[in-house]
Amino acid sequence: MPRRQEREPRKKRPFKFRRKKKCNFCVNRIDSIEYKDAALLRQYITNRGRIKPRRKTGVCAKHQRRLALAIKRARHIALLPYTIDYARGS
Amino acid sequence: MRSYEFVYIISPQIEQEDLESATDKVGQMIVDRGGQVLLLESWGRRRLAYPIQKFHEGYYMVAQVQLEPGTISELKERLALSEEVIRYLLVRTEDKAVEPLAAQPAEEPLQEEPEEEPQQEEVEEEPEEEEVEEEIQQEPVEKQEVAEDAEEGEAGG
Repeated sequence: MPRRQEREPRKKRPFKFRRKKKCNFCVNRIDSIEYKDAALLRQYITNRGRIKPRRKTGVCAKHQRRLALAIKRARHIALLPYTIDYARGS
Repeated sequence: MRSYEFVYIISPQIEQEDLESATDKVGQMIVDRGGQVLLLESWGRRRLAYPIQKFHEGYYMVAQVQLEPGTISELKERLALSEEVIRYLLVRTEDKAVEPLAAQPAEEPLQEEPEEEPQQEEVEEEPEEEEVEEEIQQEPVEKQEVAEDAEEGEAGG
């Protein structure tokens, strides 16, 4: 049995400044999110069709709720996919 | 009466010429129940993001309608029986306007054609300096993100 190589404890990375992302909808003063605007909503889904988390997009809580609703509506009328099935055809 | 936005998808099996009679039929369903169609807009034949009833395309119609809330379940039942409508979405919109005919939707269709906008290259003011500053500030952010991604990959593998 090969001896497990002892790993050096991971060096602590020096703290780097991270600018807080701002909610795009707040910045642009968009109040209600249009579910028919598939191009806009596409920015907020992953390449597999899931809704991107707030921590990735920086959207505020209020707009994330509205965004989620808009995406779900857009999915219903087939403007957006529920899922992107990569397994198909392979 | 309440205002609703009514999006429905018509089966691609319907011929282009019969499209109007299909939309008339849907409009009639609304009128029969005491509602009215204020505005009807077609997005034309579009590809669906996923197949519905094994169809990959459909004619999108967007209507602004007024309906009596009590008639909606009845309308939905009727739509479910319809061969032409393969999917619909009926959502309430803000109806502050009392007069139904005055309620023109403020929002314009998003299916706008990309109009060529003459790009003006004239330099006004001097925004360049500011932009440069911003770029510098953003740089460490991006680096940090890359570093984090790498970490995630390590942990996963």
